[in-house]
Amino acid sequence: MGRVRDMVILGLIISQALVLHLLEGFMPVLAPGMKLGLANIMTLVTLAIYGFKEAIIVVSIRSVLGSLLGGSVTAILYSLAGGILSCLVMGGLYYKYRPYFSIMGISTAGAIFHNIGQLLMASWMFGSVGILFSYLPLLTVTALGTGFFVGLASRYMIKYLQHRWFACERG
Amino acid sequence: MKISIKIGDIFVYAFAVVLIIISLTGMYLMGLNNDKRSVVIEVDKSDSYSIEIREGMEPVELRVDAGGGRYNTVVITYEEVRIEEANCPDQLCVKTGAIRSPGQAIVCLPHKVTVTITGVDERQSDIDDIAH
Amino acid sequence: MRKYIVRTYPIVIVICLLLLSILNGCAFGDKEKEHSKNVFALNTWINIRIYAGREGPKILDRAVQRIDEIERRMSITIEDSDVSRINSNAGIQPVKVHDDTFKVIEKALEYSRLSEGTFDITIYPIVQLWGITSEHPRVPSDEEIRERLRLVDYRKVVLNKEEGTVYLQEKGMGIDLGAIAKGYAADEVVRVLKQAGVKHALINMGGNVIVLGKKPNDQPWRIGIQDPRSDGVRRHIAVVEAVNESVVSSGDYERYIEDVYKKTGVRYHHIFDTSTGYPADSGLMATTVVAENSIDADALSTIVFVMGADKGLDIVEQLGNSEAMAVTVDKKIYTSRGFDKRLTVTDEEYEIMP
Repeated sequence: MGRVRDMVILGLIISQALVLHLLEGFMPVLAPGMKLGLANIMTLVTLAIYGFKEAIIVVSIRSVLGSLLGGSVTAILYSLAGGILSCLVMGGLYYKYRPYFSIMGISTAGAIFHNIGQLLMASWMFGSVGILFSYLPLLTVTALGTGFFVGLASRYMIKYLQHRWFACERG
Repeated sequence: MKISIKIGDIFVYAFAVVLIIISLTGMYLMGLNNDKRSVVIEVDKSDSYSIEIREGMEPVELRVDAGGGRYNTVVITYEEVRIEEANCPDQLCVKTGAIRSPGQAIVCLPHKVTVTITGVDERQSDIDDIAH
Repeated sequence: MRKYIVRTYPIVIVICLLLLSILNGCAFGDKEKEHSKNVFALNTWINIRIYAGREGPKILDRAVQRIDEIERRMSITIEDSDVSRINSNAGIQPVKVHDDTFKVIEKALEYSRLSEGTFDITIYPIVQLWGITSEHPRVPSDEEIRERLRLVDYRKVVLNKEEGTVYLQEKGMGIDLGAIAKGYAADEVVRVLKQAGVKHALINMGGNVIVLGKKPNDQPWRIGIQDPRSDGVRRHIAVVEAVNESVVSSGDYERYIEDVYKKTGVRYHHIFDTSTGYPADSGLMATTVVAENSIDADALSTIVFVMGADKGLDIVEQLGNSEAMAVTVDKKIYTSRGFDKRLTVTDEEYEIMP
């Protein structure tokens, strides 16, 4: 596979992730950090089609650009923290334990840890542990729901891309 | 398209439940720290204010200065605590509404302000208000 | 594979859009939840609690706007309020006022006639003399009181309905709507809320409680009656259930001269006997009136307190628009006919007398 082709496709994936991230911003928010996490679909897809390194790149660029485009500089830290932790966990599960998990399970785990990452960053920035405990229950419950659907969407995409665009499958 | 649950998924859900239990316990324990129910306001790691919520107290309105012209107005009554208004961009802290019990918290991310209720809840709840 | 995906895509998108719109509706839903607001107005803290959908905050704002409006017109501390202008033109000329102010003064004079002068908004010169709510309250001398008492006479208030004017006949006279304005404001807030479609609400104006409908769980609101001797601690000695009515208490425990009380144990409180110019001494610590309109409850709770349990409760029974209870200094509770059935005493030191 040509390197140029890979770069182009990764570029497309990143822009797709950005669009999803920004679209989410228009959804009503019940609590800080409560979102659908649609951008994680692209993270998971990258993990499946390419590799861990590429996935981290996709997540990082999406977090930084997405926050900037969304209008907030401080959001970068929270987005990065959540995104990278979530990517680490999803990557670990996908590459080491794939037989034991469905894509939905992996993305749910990713969603949960995305929240944990953001809350940890907030706790550190504020120097207060109370935040972690207060928001974790609600956010975890929503992560269970959104994680499932994000996984479902990822699964569709991965299956389609593998059959149509990539003859070989990495990882 | 078949959707099958695999064993790992059960793990994930169980893990989520454990997380929830741990954080709820954490909230409860935090509430057991002091004797008196109080409001603790923390600004950016550096400042921390604690105000005791006493029965029969008049509502307290506090303008919390988050530096650089940023502020949050916290209103504390015997029944509840809330951020009435603030000049932060997302206004999430205002939209969060009121908190009542020890363990609950309101957070303003842009201003790095947290408002938490700690202590023991001793209110009698059999009446809605008192005429005086 | 391709055909399969192309065919299901539209369905999936439609389902997602439907889900999104349902979510949106749920998140902001017109599901009723509690909205409350605290403001400082009319010289006291006001708490408004309503149950409404997403327009809750807007409705609350409208209510607060109405309260501010009333305050601007009736406050004695705002220089160009109707009341201040009436007072500064005493003995000089009639003053044109807003309908609100006119209505309230009219009602107040009605109660003055009913109570034969016990309730009298022209008590202001005496209030000023004692300065109970100011920084330096003091006990004035007999002569000072007697002199000012001449200016207390509701019959010297001239109302002109066509012109909408109020005129105080003698120089030095003054009116204070404090004992009735909160009641009026409470009724107005309920009117605003009703207009906005609110079905359940509780408003507490510095101790004057008024409720709209029942609680959202279809139970009546439970209102506690303040313990008059709890030294500032908010606790109740009895409970009354209320639906669409107002519960107002008056007593000698809210405002009184502290240092005199500490030294001599005598309470010089803020509810004056218009015939003596001294704080009312009728053997009561507190009174509570329950009426459909807060303005009635507000005026009557003062009247019962000054007139005493016997005459006060008689008047309440005669008027028929309210119910009342009076608590004597030895912790005995007397009620208007039938009210004892509504009352649940929760503090055993107090008992209802037959």
